[in-house]
Amino acid sequence: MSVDVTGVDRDTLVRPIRTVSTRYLAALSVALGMIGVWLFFYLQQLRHGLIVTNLADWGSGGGVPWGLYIGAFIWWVGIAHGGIILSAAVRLLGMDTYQPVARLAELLTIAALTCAGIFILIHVGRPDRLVTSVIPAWPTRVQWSPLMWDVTVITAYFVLTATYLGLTIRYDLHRLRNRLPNRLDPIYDVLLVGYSETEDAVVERMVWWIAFAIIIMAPLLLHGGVIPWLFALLPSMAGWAGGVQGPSFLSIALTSAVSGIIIVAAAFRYAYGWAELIPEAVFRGLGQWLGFFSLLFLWLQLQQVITGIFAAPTTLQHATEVKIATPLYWVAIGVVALAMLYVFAASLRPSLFSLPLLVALSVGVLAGTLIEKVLFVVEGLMHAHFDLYAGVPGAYTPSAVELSALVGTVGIVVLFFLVVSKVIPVVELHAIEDHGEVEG
Amino acid sequence: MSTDDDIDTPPDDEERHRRLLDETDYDTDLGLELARDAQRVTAGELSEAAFYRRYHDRIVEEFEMDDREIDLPDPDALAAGEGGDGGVGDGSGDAGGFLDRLGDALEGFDPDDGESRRSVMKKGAAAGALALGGLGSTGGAGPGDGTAAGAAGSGEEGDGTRWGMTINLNNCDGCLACMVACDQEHNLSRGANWMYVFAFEDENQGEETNFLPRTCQHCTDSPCTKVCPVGARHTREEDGLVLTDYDICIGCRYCEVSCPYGVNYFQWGEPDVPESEIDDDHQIDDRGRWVGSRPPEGVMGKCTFCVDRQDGQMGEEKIGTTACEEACTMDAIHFGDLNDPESPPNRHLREYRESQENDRSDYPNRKEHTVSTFQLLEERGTDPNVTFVGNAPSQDARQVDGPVTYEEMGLTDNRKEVLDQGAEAAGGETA
Amino acid sequence: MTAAPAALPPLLALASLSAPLPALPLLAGSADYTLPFVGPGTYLIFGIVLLPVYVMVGAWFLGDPSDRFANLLGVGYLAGLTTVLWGSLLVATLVIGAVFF
Ligand code: SF4
Ligand code: SF4
Repeated sequence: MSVDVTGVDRDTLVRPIRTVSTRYLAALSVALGMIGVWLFFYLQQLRHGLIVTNLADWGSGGGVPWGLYIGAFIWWVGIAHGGIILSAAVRLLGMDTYQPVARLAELLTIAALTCAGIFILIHVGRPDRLVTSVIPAWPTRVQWSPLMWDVTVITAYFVLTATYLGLTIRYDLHRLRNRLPNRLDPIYDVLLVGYSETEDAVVERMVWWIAFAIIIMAPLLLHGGVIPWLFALLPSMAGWAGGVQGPSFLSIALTSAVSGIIIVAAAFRYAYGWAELIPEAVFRGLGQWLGFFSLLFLWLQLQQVITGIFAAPTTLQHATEVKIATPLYWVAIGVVALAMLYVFAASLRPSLFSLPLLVALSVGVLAGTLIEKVLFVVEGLMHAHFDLYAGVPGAYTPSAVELSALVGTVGIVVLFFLVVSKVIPVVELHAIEDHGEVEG
Repeated sequence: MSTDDDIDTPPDDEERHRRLLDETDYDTDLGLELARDAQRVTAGELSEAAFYRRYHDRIVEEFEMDDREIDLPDPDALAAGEGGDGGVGDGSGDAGGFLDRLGDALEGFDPDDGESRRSVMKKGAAAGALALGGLGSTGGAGPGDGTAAGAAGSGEEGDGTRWGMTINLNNCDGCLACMVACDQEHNLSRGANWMYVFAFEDENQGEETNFLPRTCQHCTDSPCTKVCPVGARHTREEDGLVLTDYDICIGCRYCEVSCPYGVNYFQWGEPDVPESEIDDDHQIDDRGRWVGSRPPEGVMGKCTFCVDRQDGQMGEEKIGTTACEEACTMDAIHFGDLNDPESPPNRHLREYRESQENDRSDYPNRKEHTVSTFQLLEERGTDPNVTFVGNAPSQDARQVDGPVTYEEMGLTDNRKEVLDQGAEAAGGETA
Repeated sequence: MTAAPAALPPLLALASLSAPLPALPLLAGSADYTLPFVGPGTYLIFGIVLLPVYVMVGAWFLGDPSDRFANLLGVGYLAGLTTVLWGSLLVATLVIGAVFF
């Protein structure tokens, strides 16, 4: 299934860079407003400490020490996986259909990883020590601490993705330079340093290897590895331990990642009239991926529920029973199931396909995966193996301060796309021109 | 046992020691003599008291202080150790504590200044090391006693100190005095119950209410130290205390999440007792690290086994004691060096077992005593350094109200309530 | 048993001369209580997780077509971005530290 968009001209490609609409300004102020709301609340947290959240100690304290911040951290890392899925599909597997949205997906990776990092920053009690304590301890603690593994792998993922972007953007910038605004020249000069067209073939090969490295590292070792291991390696919490967490986390990551790309791509298509550039076929394909990943997600949830209630150790059984008695859990499962059923129905009966509906379902899936992640963290902590305490299981509902961080990070992603799309082409030149069709 | 040959420092070694000591600012001859006689003490040729008397005046003259006297090892115990009853750890454990102070004395240590301690070790090392070598070598040559060492705890034999507890649940009556003492000693914020006493009922243990005082278990194989990303949560090499470096901790709470026992209390907001009201002696340990008393805001805290006491900063007589142990009038809590067979936790366990003899005349296959002991969640492999005498709570055990409520003692049970109030207050004006 | 004690004091003396050393993590593994330097992360991070990166950088330089400038640019990006990432975080945390702690 390949779609030819080579008829689209270069002016279409740089359209976002050359226009500033009132709608754009409106979106910009909404994004800044969202960030402002969060900063307002975060200032409270910095002033008074984490006491302004609804977190507390487990044990005699009757609370849970990790909550929405950690759930949202995992969620953003999960969304970040969209970039690599798309780039790998295009670069490694030759699935050119997705070329028009590949760079959007890579940008989403960068933005989402940034948000994940922000959640770590605001989760810790002493953000001022995040570098001064972590960097000196790295050589010794990376040998042991799963949290240090996360820091390492997320840094590597971020750097590899940004390098990928930095190298591939040169080809486009060089060829579109005369259509790009002069006032940004200093930026382009830096990005294009030492460029010559002879490097294209070399860079092409280099980025193939970057894609190769990321596709092994990011899904298998990040979201199917060090992030679930944060929990899976701790037998103290009944709902966390066990090898199924790796695959389960990965399935959730991929599901939310595809949803994220669908939303971002649809937004650009709508805002810049890019129906030609990002045709419906792209979304039909993404929809099918969403359906497939949702199926995996549901299947792995089934694994956990059934092993948790059949003849499980008491604490795990209890944790699982509470989980399946939580209405929110079924909301999460429900939206993912709904999305899956819809896209499978639409592939059987193409006339059922509707882009707005797919976008709405993607939003639902993102909400569902976020709920599942937060529940996983919180309920996992509520059902400690040692439950002699009257305060176990503890109680937790996210506070306004915590919820505002979600709003703020979504605002940051929106802002990021609004700014970046004014500087670099967010769709690769390769999408509209075959390789080698080089002219000024 | 030892002969004169290996007690006296051989001439060429002595020459090297002389050179090492010459590099320090202090009297070389005094250092050498001290070292030689320290070896004699461990060999049993010289009594501790005589050793002390012999050098007191000269040490005072040279260093303007002599704090050796405050914690002289009991000469009888030492002699017993030489006789073969004592464990390997006995001699060297005491020697470590004593010689640390000797080293400090050599340097003119100022206990108020943590930083100077480190330079003590550096500069005064040569003299201290000579004596350490003398004592340590005899300890190493002394016969071990497997049965006594590790009577409590995990049963590993070890050198040096390993602080731990034996808590006798049969003696505990749930008065909560230990919780109050801990709360005051460490200036804890409301609800941060480093020491926590459960009152529980267990359908498998009859109708009565049982009690379980819970500290940090100071696990030898502690998950919390493994997971800490920055090494703030660490096990102190010299004595196995599991501590949190308040200067390094980033407050990620991973230790709290990984601990199977729920003993960690994060400082979510401003501590109830301000920094200005707490002496450095309580806070800075003998390595100059901030690990004692309540944590500052944004940092993790938990029971420290009264590290300030163990380092002698509360006075030499407080070494080997904890606030909760002192407060307990029921003889339930026994704190001490698990590597020392004569330490309170080991002695209590032994004596308690001896007092609960089994009827072996009719049933020769029974074990000697009827005392059951356990460690919390032993199957987790954390290797706790707290051993309980009594029956372990089963999965069906439920916490109940005890005879004395937390509120009556001015304590807070559920910290979440305090935190919720704090959050509301913070939402308004500055707290 | 007769020889060992005689040899010990000078050894200990020398060890103690560098007394700050025991605080170093490298030696921490020698004590009973502390974690050895090498742990599961050693194999996991350096042996498995970073393996694709080694392969990638190796392939850049060894394969064909290759170009010195482009390769170094790639390595520069890797090193530079890591520095920028942690450097900017450092600045942010220092500001937070100065204002709030
Ligand atoms: S009881 Fe918990 S906090 Fe204490 S040493 Fe063990 S794991 Fe660490
Ligand atoms: S809260 Fe502090 S001591 Fe605990 S794991 Fe995090 S950094 Fe280490």
